[in-house]
Amino acid sequence: MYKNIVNHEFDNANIAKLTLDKKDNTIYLNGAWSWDNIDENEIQNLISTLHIPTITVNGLEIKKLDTTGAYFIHKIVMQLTANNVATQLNLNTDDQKLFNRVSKNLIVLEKLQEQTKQYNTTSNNIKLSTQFAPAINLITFLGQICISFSKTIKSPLSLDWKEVSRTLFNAGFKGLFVVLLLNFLIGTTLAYEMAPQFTQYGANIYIINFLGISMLKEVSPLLTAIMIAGRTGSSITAEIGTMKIQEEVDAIKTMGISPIQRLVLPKVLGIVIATPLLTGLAGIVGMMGGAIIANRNLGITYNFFITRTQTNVSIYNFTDGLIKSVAFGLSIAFVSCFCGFMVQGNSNSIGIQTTRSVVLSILMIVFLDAVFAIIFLQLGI
Amino acid sequence: MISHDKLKPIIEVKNLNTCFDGVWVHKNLNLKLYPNRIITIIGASGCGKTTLVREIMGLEQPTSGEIYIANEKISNFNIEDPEAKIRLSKVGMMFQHGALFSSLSVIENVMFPITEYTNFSKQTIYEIAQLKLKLTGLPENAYNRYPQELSGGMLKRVALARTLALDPQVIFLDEPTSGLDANSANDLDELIQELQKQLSLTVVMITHDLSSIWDISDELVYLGEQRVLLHDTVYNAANNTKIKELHEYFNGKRGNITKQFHISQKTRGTNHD
Repeated sequence: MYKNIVNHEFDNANIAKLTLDKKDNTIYLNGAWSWDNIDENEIQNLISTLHIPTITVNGLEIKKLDTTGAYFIHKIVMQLTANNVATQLNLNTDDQKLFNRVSKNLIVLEKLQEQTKQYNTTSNNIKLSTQFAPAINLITFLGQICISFSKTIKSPLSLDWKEVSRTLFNAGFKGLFVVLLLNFLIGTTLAYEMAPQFTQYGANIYIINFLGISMLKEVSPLLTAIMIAGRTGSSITAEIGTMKIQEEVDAIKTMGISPIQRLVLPKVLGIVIATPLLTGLAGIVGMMGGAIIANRNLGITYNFFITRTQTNVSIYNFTDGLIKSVAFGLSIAFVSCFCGFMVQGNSNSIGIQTTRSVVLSILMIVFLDAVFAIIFLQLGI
Repeated sequence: MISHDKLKPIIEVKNLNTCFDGVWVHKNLNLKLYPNRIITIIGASGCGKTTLVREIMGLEQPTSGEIYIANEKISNFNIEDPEAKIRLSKVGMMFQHGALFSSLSVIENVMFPITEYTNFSKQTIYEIAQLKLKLTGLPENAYNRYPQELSGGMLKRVALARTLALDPQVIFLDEPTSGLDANSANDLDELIQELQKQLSLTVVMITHDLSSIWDISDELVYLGEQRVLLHDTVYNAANNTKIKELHEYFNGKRGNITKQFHISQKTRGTNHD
């Protein structure tokens, strides 16, 4: 029966009907037995309540039979036979031909289904190894990168330096404006919101220490890395994923070129160079934003701000941020390339892997940040 | 020309004009197709075969003219209209590259139209979809795989199964045997012919495969000069000497080999399959 279609005049004479005549133990099939005229529930209701030893299913009056109709007639016959009702089916010659063919195929399918059911119950424990497949893939991927990297160190010219500069341009220069704007705004916001706290204790000049540590060491490396993960990491995943679907990765392999060497290493290198450069600039711009608010709200002159930064904010804050950003860049590049290679010939898969790439990258960044915080504290820098 | 006194045409195209950016694809094209047979549309590349089929399916709007399927006007219809939906469930189209949904498995692809149109239970729909796939001869182990994991011949079978999912009266096949090896193409040809007979289908096929034309086509429609130049049986079309291009099509270097082969098979009265 048609679903969800209203305002349509259905031809009632065509609707598939089955009527039980108890006198001569016969089920009469009438109307058109096609998918748009069959009511599944009606058939089920009649068949399941039937308990007589023999029955004839008379389909000679059927107007039209299609494969769906034949399927339901087959089901009726099978179900009656299963209920120990001896069933005889009468159909026109043409309908009988179609029915025979459908019925033959359905019997094959039913047998097969029983076999697979048995197979499924015996083979449940095989699937365990596939649970760890992603972890194994990740380790393999990291290993391949290490091998490719060691080869590249031996012969640096074999690397596609054009691709490195392209990544550097895309991740670094094209993202420069938005990263600097973001950090500038965060610098001003932090200073603006903390300024009243400092004035309360008359400790106006400590805004410089506060900005120095928070911006240079924590905020700008984190924000820059998250921005790169969202901008560049996702685009790398989508790019490699599309290449994989269009068999470009396979084409590279058939030419005897390692896809890791050709596709992954330049991107890793480009991002690893771009991230600390952006982070350094972002930290400085963030401090500038803070300086403007310090000048406006706390009356600290720009000259004093600079000299106080030089004397009281340790350079280690800045270098810590840069060191961290290198690690962040590495993790973004690894994760996004890995997710790109995990795409499996399916347009849906690109979307899934791109999302996964961004989420995993950001998780990795925050995790690494915590690790670095502990390391730096233990080292006392 | 083919004349049918008693039958009503299942597809009727009247005075069809199509113009894309100043290029005329169809000029005053008229065509009547009759039910329960295999009709092949041929013509040079770019002569508007696919456009004609797309217009009949309502995927493309003609510049002017009328198209009827089973006496119902199909041009200028709205897909949101339930009547249009019912009409479209009576025709099926198999696209050249299958156009299977890559995010769904093979069986889900076939279940998709059935779920959309009927309110059968999930199990029933699953079993009907299995039946359709089985009818097209796809191996059972491929049912739960994804389209991208299948070979070209298998994809065509899945596409055919999805086209047949709602037992349409008319199906359009856009180059069903393109990109298939000779054996798969033969199998698919046989399958189409067999299904056409069993399900009393009208099959409208676009193909460049001469072997398919000789093997399974009942009628031939030759498009040229923006209109239908010839509509006749395959045998008559092959022996036509008036239209130069069509004559070359069947009697040129490629055409002649297939023609001789099929005529010799027929005179010997054996089935070459």
